[in-house]
Amino acid sequence: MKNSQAWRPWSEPRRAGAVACACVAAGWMVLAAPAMPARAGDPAGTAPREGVRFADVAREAGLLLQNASGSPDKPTINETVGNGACLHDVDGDGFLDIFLPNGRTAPPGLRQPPPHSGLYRARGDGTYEEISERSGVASPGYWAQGCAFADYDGDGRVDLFMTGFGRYILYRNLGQLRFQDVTAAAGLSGGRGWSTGAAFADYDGDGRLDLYVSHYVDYDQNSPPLPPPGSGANCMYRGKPVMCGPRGLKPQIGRLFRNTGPRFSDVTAAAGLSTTPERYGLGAVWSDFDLDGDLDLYVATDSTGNYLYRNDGRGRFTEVGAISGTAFSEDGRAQASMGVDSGDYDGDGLFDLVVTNFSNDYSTLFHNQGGLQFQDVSLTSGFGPPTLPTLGWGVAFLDYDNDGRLDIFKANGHVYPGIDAHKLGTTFRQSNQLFHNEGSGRLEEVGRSSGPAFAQQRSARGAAAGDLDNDGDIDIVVNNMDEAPSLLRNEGGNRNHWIGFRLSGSGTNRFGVGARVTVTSGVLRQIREAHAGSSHNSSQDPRLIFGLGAAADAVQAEIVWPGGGRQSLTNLVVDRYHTIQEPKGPP
Amino acid sequence: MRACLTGRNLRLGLLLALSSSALACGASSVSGRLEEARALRERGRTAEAAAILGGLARRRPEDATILHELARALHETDKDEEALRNVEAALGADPTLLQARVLRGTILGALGRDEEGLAELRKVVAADPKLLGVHRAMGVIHARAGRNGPAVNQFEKELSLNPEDPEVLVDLGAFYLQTGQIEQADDRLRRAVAHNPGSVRAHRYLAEVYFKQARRGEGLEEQRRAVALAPDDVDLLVTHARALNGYGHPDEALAVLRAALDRGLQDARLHVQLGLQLGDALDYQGSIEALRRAVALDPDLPEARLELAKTCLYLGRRDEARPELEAARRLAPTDPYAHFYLGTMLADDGKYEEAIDLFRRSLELDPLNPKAHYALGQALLRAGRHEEAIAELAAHAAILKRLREKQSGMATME
Repeated sequence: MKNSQAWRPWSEPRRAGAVACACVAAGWMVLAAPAMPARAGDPAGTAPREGVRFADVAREAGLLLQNASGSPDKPTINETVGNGACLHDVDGDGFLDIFLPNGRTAPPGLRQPPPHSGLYRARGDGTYEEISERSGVASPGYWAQGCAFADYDGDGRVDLFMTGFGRYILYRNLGQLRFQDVTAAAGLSGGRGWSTGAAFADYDGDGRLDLYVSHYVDYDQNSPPLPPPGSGANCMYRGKPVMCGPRGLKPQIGRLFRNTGPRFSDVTAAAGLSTTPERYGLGAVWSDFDLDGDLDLYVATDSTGNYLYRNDGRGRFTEVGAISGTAFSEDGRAQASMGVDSGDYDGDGLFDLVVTNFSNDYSTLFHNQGGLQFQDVSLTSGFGPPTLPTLGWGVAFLDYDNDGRLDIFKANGHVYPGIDAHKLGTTFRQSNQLFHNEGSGRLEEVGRSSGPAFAQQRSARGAAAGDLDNDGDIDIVVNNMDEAPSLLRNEGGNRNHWIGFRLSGSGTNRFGVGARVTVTSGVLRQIREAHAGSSHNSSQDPRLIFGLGAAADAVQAEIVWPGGGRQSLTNLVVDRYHTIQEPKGPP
Repeated sequence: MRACLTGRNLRLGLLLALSSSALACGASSVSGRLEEARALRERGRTAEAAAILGGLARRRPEDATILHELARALHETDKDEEALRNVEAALGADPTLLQARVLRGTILGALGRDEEGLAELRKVVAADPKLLGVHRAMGVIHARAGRNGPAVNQFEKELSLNPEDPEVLVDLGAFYLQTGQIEQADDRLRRAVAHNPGSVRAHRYLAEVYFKQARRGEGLEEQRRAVALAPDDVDLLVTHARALNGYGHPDEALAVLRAALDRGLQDARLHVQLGLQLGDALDYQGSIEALRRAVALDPDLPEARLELAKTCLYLGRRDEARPELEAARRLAPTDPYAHFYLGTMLADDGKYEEAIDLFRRSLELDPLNPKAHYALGQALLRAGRHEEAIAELAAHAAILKRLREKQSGMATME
């Protein structure tokens, strides 16, 4: 079935959520929403990438939540993993809101008010108001790690899942900026140890969003079995005593929860995922790596081989990390993997992987060769060498300059605060990195020429990319350890043309998580996938944004919905977001 | 005679006197050079000593003392075949030279001809049961062959002849260290240091004992003492710098190496270590420069070639890495890593069959290298040899599991 519909741009800038035009044709609907206006004087054609700059506007925007993650000297590993950042439009006003999970200051029981997690509602003018308390998601006292936004119950309002120490929290969005803790009702209560990355997807094709949660070290915060720095072989770094682990500490298995309607049930073993506690799980992402129509799962694990679970389409998984070439670096080393994202950076139609790792090692770019075979191209692509001094966490494929090729953002920061004194060539606070995709499989680090935001030194952790000001280029939120977050506003990325899609599923997967969109414009052909959880403890803008470069003629899109339905759109108007309604009925 | 000193005779006398003086000077020069060579050898500069002694031996090919000394110096520079020829020449010139027999036995042992060596040494014991150093030499032969009981027996016999011989104590301590008997090693080496605080070997091995006991500060201190006694011993300097770098003193490690280089000790191994440390400190450009200097100083040092190649590979500078890897393979064909890294380059280029050959060669040389099993598995997969690939990946997983268990002290279930 092929549907097409041409649209004209809005003549006046309006709030994206105020959908003013709908056209129903052949059972599906396209809603065009306006972009923010381009600034006067900006050329309409291609802008040189040097012209794209990022400025940290967190303070001006009111994004002030002070991160807490144990004590400043971080003597134990639970203080070092840090928090993510999550983006979604929680109130349906068309602007991305920001959630920042937060940790706790050790030791517990300090008299000061406990730190809380922060939900920031976008006012639509570039500033945010904190609504953590009144929305019910502040979670004071809960030492959180990660978050993921997803509409688990299919009511059209995005819900919030949090990971951390001791338990999970699932907040159901009641509307009117109110959330309710439904963890127990959803079957997710109980002692959960130390959970980190979380990612939603409909792995079994039943229309409901299931949930994978990574777990790291087997840890009981009431009697933490964590040895002191320097107390063993796994508590030294380059001859200096540091916090112990993760090596030498017992790992905890990740959990897969099937959404059975009102509740989630743990299907980890039944689905064939590992039940042997042997790896330290962190970032997770669902992606259809073999393009067979179901979502596979990749889990970055610290100091152990990463998992790639191939989905057989019938609710069973086979672990193929080593055989696919994604478990280890090219030379067979287990890397200290933290964050992960999937995206087609070389335009061959297959989803590749980027994984962040420890310092004195490179972060890894795995090129998807097809047939579920990957090749570590970190060193040959130019991506790996500049990452050697850095310890990476949050990571995202993003086309920050809208030239039609996916670039990479990488958030950096070390785990050892004392490392600065040891003069080992790396520091606790580090600059984040931006890699421009030069084409032909080459990436070049361009952070230094990309504005003052990349000169900042922070100990960054989670990162989420999204078009926060709806101006058609991608901004980035970074959660910094023991500091306020960064909001890196993209200035100039929208000089190239772009097109964005809001997916609206017809069933209970209301935001089309797992949908695959292919955009064709001239010689450009790009593919993206809607995720709900990736990076490090984070989830990104649910919309899919495509850069189109200077040429923006005859833009076409094909959407493959999670249920398998296909939808084609032609002659799409560029430089704006389109809301795509999934056709009803069988695919 | 004096009356006979006519003009002609006077000239003859002058000639004779000059000749005699020249002979005396020559003798004095030989003995001076011999002493100089001995001093150099004792300071660890054995190659220079061997060069001097080689010159003397050419002038006096029948001099048993010179030939014996030359053989010692050659043996200490690991040129054992040449050393054997010279010690046998010394014994040909003077068959009663028992110390030369001890040396011959030692050299035969070093050449793996243990039975001949031990037989020679037993003859010496029979000739002079109290001659020092003979049991020690026999102990070294046994120790090298892994015959721990006989080795200890011989070392203890040597000690019974001279309970305070620091060199025997060092040998025994080193032996205990190598066989994991750390407490015994500690005892013997501390006794050696007490008897001879100037023994470089004693300080050096004692440092290793302390490292084994996790007494890192004391270990580094012993190394510092050894370096102070032998500041030009390159092996020692490299070992010390490596320990300093590994045990949290990277600045001091760099200072040690740079000071040695500034003193004019231009040895490629120092530059290699400097390059490795700069790489650790994330100064990759500095690392490459140091490794390039090492290659320039000693183009035949495979370690320099390999480390330069690895650093270039790490930085994505494949074109520079390739010739270095090929040189490393040529220079050290039994080093598994040169084959392995060249294999990874070829696999990147899609030359899977060539890469497979190299990975297999690497695994022949080091069957327990998990990286090579993994890389081989990946190359086999890409070459369509699925079953072979699965076997290699299984081997990789099994080795990693063993390493993990060793590290954590816990068995894990797959």
